[in-house]
Amino acid sequence: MKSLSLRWLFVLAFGVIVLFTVVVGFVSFRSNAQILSEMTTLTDTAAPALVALNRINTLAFRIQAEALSAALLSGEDDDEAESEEAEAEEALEELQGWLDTYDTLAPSPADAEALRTSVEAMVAESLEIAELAEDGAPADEIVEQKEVAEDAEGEYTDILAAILEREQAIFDASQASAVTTTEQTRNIVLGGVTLAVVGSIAVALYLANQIVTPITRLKTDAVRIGQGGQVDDSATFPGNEIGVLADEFNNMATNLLEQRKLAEAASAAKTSLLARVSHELRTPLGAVLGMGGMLAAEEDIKDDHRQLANYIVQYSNELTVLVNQLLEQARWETSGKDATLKLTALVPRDLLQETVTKMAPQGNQKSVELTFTCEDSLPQTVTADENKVRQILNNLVTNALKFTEEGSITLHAYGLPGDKWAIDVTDTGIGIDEAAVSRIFEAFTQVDEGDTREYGGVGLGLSIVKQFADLMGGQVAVKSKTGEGSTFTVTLPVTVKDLKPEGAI
Amino acid sequence: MNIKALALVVEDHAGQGIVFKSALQELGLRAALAPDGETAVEHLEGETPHLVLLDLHLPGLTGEEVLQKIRQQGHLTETKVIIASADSTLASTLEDDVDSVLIKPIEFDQLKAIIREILEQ
Repeated sequence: MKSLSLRWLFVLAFGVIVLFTVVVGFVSFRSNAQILSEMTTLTDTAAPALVALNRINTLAFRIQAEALSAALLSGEDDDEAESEEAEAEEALEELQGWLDTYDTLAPSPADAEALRTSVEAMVAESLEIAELAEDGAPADEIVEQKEVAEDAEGEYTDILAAILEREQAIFDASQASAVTTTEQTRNIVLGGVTLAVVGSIAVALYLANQIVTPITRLKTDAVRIGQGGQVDDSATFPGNEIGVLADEFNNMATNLLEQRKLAEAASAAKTSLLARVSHELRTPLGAVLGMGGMLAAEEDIKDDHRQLANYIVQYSNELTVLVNQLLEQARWETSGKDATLKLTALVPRDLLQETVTKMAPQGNQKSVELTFTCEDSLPQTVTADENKVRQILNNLVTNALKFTEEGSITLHAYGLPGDKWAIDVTDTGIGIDEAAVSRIFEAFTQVDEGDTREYGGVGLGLSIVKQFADLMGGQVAVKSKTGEGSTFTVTLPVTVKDLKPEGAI
Repeated sequence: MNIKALALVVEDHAGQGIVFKSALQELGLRAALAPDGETAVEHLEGETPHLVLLDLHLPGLTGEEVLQKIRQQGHLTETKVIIASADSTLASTLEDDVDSVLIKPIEFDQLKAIIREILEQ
C-alpha cells in the first residue's frame, strides 16, 4: 500500500485537530447559550412571579387587617377609623398594581384570573365589614359579613397555595434544567478536551513513528556503511518522502562503496608494484655497488679511475636510499600501523653523534656545518626502535642537507615533561612556504613539482619520518620561514610501547 | 688451512654472483657459483663447503628449500650459512636459522667484513 506523503499526513493531522477543537468549541458555546436561557427564565419570570405572589399576599392581609381595625374603631374614634380605611384603600391600589404585574408573569392566564378574582373578593368582603361598622349596622349583620369575608379568605388561600405550588415547580424545574445543562456542558468539554489530547498524542506518536523509525534505520545504515559495512536494502521504507530519501541514500552508498572498492584496488596495485619494483631494483643495485667497491679497492688503477669508482659507490648508495624509501612506503601502505616495533634500550646522545659523524662529510662538500647539542634534561637512555629512530634522524638530516647550500645544520636533543624527549633539526636553508607546511609530510610530496628536478628525491623522506614517529607514539612538527631555514621537531615517549599484539606484521 | 676452504655462492644474478665470488676469493677461499637451487643441491651432495652464501629468491628450488637440504645433510653440520637477499622481510624470518643475514645491496667492504667475521667464529 502506498503511504500518504508526509506533507499530506501533516496537513490531515493538523486538520483533524483543528476540526475537533472547532466542534468542542461549538458544543460548549451552544450549551452556554442554553444555560443562559435557563438562567433568564429563572431571573426574569420564575423569581419575579414568586416575589409578586408574596407581595400580593402581604398586601391582601394588610388590607384585611386595616379593614377590621377600621371596623373596630368606628364609633369610638372615627378619625382613626377613617385613617385606617384610607390606608386600606391605598394598599388596595398597590395590590392592583401587583396583580397587573403578575398577569404578565403567570404561567397561565387562568391562574392569574383566578388569583385576581379570589383576592379581590377577599379584600372586598373585608372592606364591607368596615363599611357596615361605619354605617352603624347591627352587630349580628357585621358578624354575618365577617363570616362571608372568612369564606372568601379561605377560597383565596386555597387558590394561592395551588398557584404557589405550580410556580415553585416551574422554578425548581428551571433550576434543575440549568444545573443539568451545566453538567452536560462540563462533561462534553471535558470529554472533548480529553479526546483532543489523546488524539493529538496518538497523531504525534504515529507521525513520529512514520518519521523517526525510518530515520533511525537510515542512521544505523549510515553508521554501518561508514564503518565499512555493506549496503542493506532489505528494509522496507514507507512510500513517502522518507522512502524516497532511503532509496537515494542506498543508491548513493552503493555508488560510494563501488568507488571505494575501485580506489582500494588501485591503491593495492600501486603498493604491490612499488614493493616489486623496489625489490627488483635492489639486486642489480647490489651488483653495481659491489663492483664499484671492488674497482675502488683495486690496487693497480689510476687515482682518477678510483675516484670514478668511488662515485659509483656513492651514487649507488643514494639510489639504495631511494629504493629503501620506496619499499618502506610500500610496506607502510600494506601493513600501515600494524607494523611491529623492535624495542630496545638506546642512548640518544650516541645516535646523534653517529648521525652527525656519518653525514658531516656530505655537509662539508657544500660548506654546511653539522653539529649536535644535548641538554641536561635529555634522558641517558630511552626505549625505542633503534633503526626507526636512526632513520628518522637520517631522513631529517638528509632533507636539511638537500635544501641548505651553506650555513649550518644543528641537532638539538632535550627532555620534555610527561616522559617525553625531542630532537630539533634546524637548518639555515631555503625554508618552506607556510602554505606548504601541512603537505610536506604526505608521501610523494615536494613543495612544488619543480623541486623534484632541482633537489631530487621522490618526497618520501619526511613522510617516513612522520610514519615512524606516529608508530612509536610520537609526533613530528615543523617551523619554517622562507629564506631563513626550518626546524623539524620530533617528539617521542621516553618509553615507547608496542601496542600491537605479538606476531602481528 | 693447507687446502683453500670451499665456499658456495647460491645466486641467480650473475653480476651479484661475481661480486660475492670476488669477496670470498679476496678472503682466501675457493668459491663455486650455483645459479639456481638445483645446482646448489648437486654441489652440496658431493662437496662440503665451509660457507654457503645463499640468495632466497631463486628460480626452481627456493633459498629456504636449499637451507632445509643443508640442515638435513649430516656432512654439512659444520657449514656456515649467510643469507644474502634483497627481501629483508623474508630474510628476517630466517635470522635465527643461519649465521648471518645481509640485505642487498651491500657495499663490498661491508660484505667482506661480515664474511670475515663469520669465518673467524
